[in-house]
Amino acid sequence: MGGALNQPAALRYSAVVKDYEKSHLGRVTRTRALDGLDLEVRAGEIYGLLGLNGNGKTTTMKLALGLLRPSAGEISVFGRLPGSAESLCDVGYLPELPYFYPYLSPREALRFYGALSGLVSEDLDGLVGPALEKVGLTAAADRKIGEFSKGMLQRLGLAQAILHRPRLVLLDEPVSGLDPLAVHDVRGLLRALNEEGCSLLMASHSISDVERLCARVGILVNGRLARVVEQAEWAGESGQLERIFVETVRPARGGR
Amino acid sequence: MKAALAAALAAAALNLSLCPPPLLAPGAAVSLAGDGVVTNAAFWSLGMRRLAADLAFIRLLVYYGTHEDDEEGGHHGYDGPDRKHDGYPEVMPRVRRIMAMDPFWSHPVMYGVGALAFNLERPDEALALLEEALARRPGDAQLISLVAAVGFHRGGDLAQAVDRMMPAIDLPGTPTMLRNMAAYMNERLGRRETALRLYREILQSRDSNYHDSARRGIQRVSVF
Amino acid sequence: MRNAALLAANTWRELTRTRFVPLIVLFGAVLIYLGMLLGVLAGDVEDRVLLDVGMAVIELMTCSAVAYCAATGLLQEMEQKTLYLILSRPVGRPAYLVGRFLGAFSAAATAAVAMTAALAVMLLCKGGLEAGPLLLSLWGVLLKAFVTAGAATFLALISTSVLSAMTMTGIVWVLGHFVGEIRFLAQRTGSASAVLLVPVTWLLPNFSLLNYRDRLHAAGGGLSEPLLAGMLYAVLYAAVCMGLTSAVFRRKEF
Repeated sequence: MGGALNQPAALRYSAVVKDYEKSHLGRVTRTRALDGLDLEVRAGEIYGLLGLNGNGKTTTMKLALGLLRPSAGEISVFGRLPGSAESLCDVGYLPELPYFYPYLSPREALRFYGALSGLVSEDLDGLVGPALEKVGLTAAADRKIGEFSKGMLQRLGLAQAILHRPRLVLLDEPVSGLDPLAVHDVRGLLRALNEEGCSLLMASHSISDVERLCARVGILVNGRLARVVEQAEWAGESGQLERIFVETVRPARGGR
Repeated sequence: MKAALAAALAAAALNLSLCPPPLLAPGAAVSLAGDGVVTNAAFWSLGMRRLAADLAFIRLLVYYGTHEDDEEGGHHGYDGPDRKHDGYPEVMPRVRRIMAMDPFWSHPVMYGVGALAFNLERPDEALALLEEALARRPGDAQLISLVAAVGFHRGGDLAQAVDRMMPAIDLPGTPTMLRNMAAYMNERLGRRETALRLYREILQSRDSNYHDSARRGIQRVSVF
Repeated sequence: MRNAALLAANTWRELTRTRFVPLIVLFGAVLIYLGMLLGVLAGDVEDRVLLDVGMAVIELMTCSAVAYCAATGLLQEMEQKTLYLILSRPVGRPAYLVGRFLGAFSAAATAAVAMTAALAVMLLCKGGLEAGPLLLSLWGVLLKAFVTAGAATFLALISTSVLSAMTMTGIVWVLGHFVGEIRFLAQRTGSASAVLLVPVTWLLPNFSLLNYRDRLHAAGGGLSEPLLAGMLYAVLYAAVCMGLTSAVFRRKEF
């Protein structure tokens, strides 16, 4: 895997707390999603994020994009504030369920999002076609997105995340809804991205994909990073990462 | 935020200082009486005063175009200053309401004046309307002409009345009803060429209610 | 600015491709044609009635359209999460709002111009087309739509649903036409409570300033209207609305 030891961390969370507040008829309810998260994605690495539903994976990603603000703690993206124009230029994001405008075609959508990412027309001419090819959507490039299946939407989501050649890509369930061949292709794509120097933070329920791609894996339990597992701990032993994951999360769920 | 605050202050200043031309004559009282006030208020709330005035004028046309129960024959003819007609009491208040809605529109005023002064023989009401209209639009040549015409008509001098009316008739925007009145008066005075011209103009107008009357007028004038 | 222009163009594309704008134009043209029936009753003033009915329909359709576009656009993006792929890019939140606002306004303005062209054709067929009053009326409609778009965008952000946003926009729109009357009544009553109404009139958009349609034949016609000042007022008012919207939107989390 590629790596650049002397570069600042691609993404760093220091004692990050995130509380969701809901007020109703004067009563405020607080739900703690992240409770003192300390996490670092090194430049050039693929970092996997595992956790049960509702344990803070998506919250972690959104904080890096400025879609959410931390209640406490600090976050930096290549040493810059999350959500700033400078940091967002270097970040690509694939949400768990990518939503697109149904009246656009993939070609139009990529040109639109690419332009918003700062790409000019000449760049887009040279990038949109290859991006569609990488995700296997060339044949459907001019169809309306409203007609797409879930798998096709996922591929398009990946295309828009990598189109502007970001230095960090945040992937929330990148293989969700994909057939096995597409999963294989996406794994190859992510590996190739990483070899070009791109850092990736990948949240997934698919432990098999995580263990094939990631150099390190963080396991979130109740909003905290309960354990960080190095690749050496599971390499060469089938099912080992899954065992580690279950051992880590089960006590937190009361042994159920 | 500072920019937004500055914009807000500037907008408020413009809001207070910009003043559309007054739609009420000075000293006019606020009146809520009369039918259609709720409808009119609804139109005003949508910024459609002119349209409210248009609809009120259409209602006036329908009102004045509908025969009253005790009416003998038609009322749109010219019978002379001695044949006062007491019907259609709402002509004046309706025209006044239209004026209040759109003080820049003199067509309904001329229509009302023509009806009151020359059909219904109520020149005092017609002069009152003209006075109110001129308070809003001083210097309106058509209205000034009509004041003189009505005044001479009230005094029984048909020739002078027609002479004073003709400048108003020849300006654009004159109701066909008034043109029809002028044509008939010219015919009575023996001014056939003028009457014939006016009848022909009536045939070209949009108000088809007077086309039959104009054709009959042309026939009469052509016979002599 | 570039991002705002991109977003405005995308919004315009959305509203034309989803047939919203063409439907507004078609419906408006039908209503204007029905207005010709009223004109038949009006005799001599048929052209005036057709102009007034036509411009009234155009204004109602344009302002309803812009209120709907502004209200639904923002709320739908937040609900359907298409916003994530925009805000996860180097697009400032103010630029996003300005883009959506300009897109909604330009789509409604396109509809207004198309409907006015249809009305002009009808007036031309009747032989009563006066370009000056028609264009002046259209200008007033566009300025009102601009202000309405700003107000609707702000109200959409502080309300919980499209229906409530549009209802509030409708109330503001109606009250905005009564600003002169409210001040007049406050002066006439002279009571303390009435005086409190006056600051309210500063907050409401003063649509009577932009009601050029109602003063087409005032002394001097359109030339006596403070057109530039009216435009400045509309721009400033919309800017204030967008500033407030931006302040609220900045604090929102997604």
